[in-house]
Amino acid sequence: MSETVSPILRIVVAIILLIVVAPLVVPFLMSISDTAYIVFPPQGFTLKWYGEVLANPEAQGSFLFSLELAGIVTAVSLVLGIPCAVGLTRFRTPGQDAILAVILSPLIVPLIVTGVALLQLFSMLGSRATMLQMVIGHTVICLPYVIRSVSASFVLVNRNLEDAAAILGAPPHVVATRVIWPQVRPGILAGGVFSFIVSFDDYPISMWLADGNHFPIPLYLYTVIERSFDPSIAAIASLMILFALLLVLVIEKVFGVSLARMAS
Amino acid sequence: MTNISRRSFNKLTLGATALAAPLAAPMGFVRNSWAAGKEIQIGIWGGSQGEFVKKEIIPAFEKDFGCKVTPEEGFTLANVGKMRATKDNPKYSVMFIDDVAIPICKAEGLIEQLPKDDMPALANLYPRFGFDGWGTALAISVASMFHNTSVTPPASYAELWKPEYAGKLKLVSPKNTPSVFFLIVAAAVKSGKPFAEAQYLIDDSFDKVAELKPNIMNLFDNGPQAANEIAQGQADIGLLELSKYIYPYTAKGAPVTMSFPSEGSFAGNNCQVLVKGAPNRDVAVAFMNRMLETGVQKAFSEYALTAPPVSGIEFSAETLKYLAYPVEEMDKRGLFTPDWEYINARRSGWTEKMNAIFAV
Repeated sequence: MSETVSPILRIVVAIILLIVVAPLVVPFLMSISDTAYIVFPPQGFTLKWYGEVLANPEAQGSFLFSLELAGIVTAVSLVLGIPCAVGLTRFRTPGQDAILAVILSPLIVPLIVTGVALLQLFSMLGSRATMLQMVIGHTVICLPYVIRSVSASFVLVNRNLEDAAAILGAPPHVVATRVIWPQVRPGILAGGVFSFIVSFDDYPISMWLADGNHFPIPLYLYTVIERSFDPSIAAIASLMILFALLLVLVIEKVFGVSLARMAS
Repeated sequence: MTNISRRSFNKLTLGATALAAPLAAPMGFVRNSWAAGKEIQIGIWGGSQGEFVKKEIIPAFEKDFGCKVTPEEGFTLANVGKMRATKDNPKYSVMFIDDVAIPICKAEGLIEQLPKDDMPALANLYPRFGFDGWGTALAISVASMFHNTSVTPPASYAELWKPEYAGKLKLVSPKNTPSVFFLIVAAAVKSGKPFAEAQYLIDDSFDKVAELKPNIMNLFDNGPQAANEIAQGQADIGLLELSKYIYPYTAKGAPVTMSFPSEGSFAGNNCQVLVKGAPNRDVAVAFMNRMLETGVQKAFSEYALTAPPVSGIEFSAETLKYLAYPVEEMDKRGLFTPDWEYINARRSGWTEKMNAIFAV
């Protein structure tokens, strides 16, 4: 059944899209300027800033490290977060609300405070394992996103379907994979995506825990801005926007789940 | 405009290092074998200074001493925070901070006095940059007004309060150290006294600060970004910022430069301190000594366009355009270093007042 969309609605949507997307175009335009410093509108045309950024070992190292860190943190957050969400939604346990409040507290406490507290804790423990510290620190702030998202999807699962499958003879693992999984998959995927993005973009936790050998891309960007505010900054910003778009496309194509569905 | 290009300078430095290494390595290997295999973690600055330390100074030091130095880029307040958080079990051995924080670190027992006997390079340090043995300066910037080159800057700070500058000024954020310099300027303009006396009159000068509000377009907390915005003509004048953030753009040909009003300018001293209870203290001391060596200081200064705290370095006339060096030149320009102990005790209150005035 086709629905007609009024021209006024189309115009309003177009204006909103323009307002949302226009700021993302600005760094791209600044990144092609053939000047030694950032100007807008751009002067001349060059792609050399992209070449410099892509060939820069520091930028490459930070980007790859951020990918690695975000990947590990996402995996750990899912491994810890899914059972936690199941427990919180399917079972009544003493102090359940308190447990949930503790898990979600990193969303309330300023991250910069969480970061310095973690540094103090690791120092007291005598830990020098930077990578482990960063995985723990990032997991602490990513876990709430996974648990919120996965909990919501488990709450919405139709328990009648599980009962029907069980009554018809389906063993528990079949109920889990054929009945529950299709219903909770968008929520788990959404939790994973949020976790990846929160870790990939994190500055305040990394600022306290990182070192020269473990230097994620947000810290690198900050130092580059301090070094020189030239169009390579805009080139990095453009590449990160492109990366985010690619991530969305990959999720939609590979996992077959649209962002609209995850958001709903 | 200077002919100094960072990239070409890097090549020169790398070339020089490559040439010197075969000569220095055998002797250095024997002389510094005590440091072999040891590791220290240091907190450095970001920006071009951090870039040079990471890419040039540390690799050469590691090669000469057979040790490992892991740098962590940050800024003064974060570096002090890291020392506080790890005070009971120090993680860092050397920290780079601004002179403003040295009295705080000393009072909190975060740092220790330098072992003079183990640091021969201290012999060339100007006494004023020794901080009673609690650290040394590494680079001196001039903090002053900066402006778009299409604008004629005022000869005196007092003129900035005139209506003709309405909405044409960018002011440094209260969270940045140069905002203290601005408060001293306001006190000096109000009282007519020199900076040395005006710094003690800041409490009575916030009405003068508020009077400038109509002329302020916005506040900035990132020097390089502010330099870029002034170069683009978003505002005419910025006050105040360190030359190390402005002159690299001037040298690149951007239409922005610094000016030095009649009241004087300020010294921005980037320093190094030795963390109390530092892991591998001997390597830390050797690294701090290396930072002060003449060859390192010359290259560091030319790269970051800051003045060295040690005597006896020759610079080209082109480079000297951007540096207040030697110490006689600093005195000639009236570079003023505030009484940080007095200021630190009052700064949080002043920051609140600034925030109230500018509603940040």
